[in-house]
Amino acid sequence: MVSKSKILGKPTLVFISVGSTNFQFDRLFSALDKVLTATNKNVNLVIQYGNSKYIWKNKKVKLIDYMTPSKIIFLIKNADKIISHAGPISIVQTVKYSKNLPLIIPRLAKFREHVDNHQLYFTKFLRTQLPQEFQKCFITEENINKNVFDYLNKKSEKNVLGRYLFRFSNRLTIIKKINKYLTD
Amino acid sequence: MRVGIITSKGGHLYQILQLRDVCKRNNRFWVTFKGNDAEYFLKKEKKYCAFYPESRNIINAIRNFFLAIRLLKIEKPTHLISCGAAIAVPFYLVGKFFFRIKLIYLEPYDFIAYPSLTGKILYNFVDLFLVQHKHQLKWYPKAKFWGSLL
Repeated sequence: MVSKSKILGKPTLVFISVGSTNFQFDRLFSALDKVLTATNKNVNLVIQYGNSKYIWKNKKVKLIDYMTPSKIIFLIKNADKIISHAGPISIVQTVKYSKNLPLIIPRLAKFREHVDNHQLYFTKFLRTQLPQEFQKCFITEENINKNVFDYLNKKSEKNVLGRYLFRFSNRLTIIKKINKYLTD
Repeated sequence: MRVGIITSKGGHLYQILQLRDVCKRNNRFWVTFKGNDAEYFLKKEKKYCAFYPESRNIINAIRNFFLAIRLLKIEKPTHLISCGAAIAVPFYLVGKFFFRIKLIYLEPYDFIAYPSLTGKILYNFVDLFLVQHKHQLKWYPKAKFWGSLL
């Protein structure tokens, strides 16, 4: 008997992260569900699903509601593909640690995925800082089925987003100035 | 000097965490929500849990208002610092009007296109309002831009 991995090759580890906010993100989950049913890819899907009550048709997915930050970073470092909501920290950690280009999908108020559309505007802002070829990592459409399908089926590309994003942190300056303010 | 750090979980906690070294550990305490991030990032810190969910939730805002009176009376901070979200509002209002505590607020990094609701509410009450992008100064003219955390 030949093992499945010998025939299909090593499974692709795909990590999905939707943050710790108490809003649902079923639009992403239903797109993923559809893609998994439509393709026969050998995929290991690990999903940090937050507060969602979505019922998956595909039962092979590994579902975890919340993870410790160290586990999230571990998964980001080891995943072949990552799909994340557009929370600033999810994006920062993905840009910093991911091996390959991720797919970032903003939560939209229209679908009650967040209080307002600030994730959409933040996504658009980050897109403007990237060259044309990498803007596809940051989605702004409502219907994401094709984007998710294409992302999971195409070959992974090396993550170079760190060359363009979050390069100008002034953390230490801000700490110094606040400390001065506190002690004056 | 004693600093109270009031923060929601997730991105807000992570951003304000970047600033925790403004004072020593035994001079600060945290007010946040129960969850994996608080347990992980604030393992060795003194912390209190507030009522959740906070976003556009009047009942919890009222509960947190009374919680703020109790906690700020016990801890007696000289300053409060926060990056949101809604949890900051009851604590900052109690801090200002009941205890005359100095208030520092930092607008979160991802509010690019418009000001946050918490920022709009607290703008006229805080003593030091910080933004992380220069263009945010047009919504908050009295604010200071000292750079961004991310």
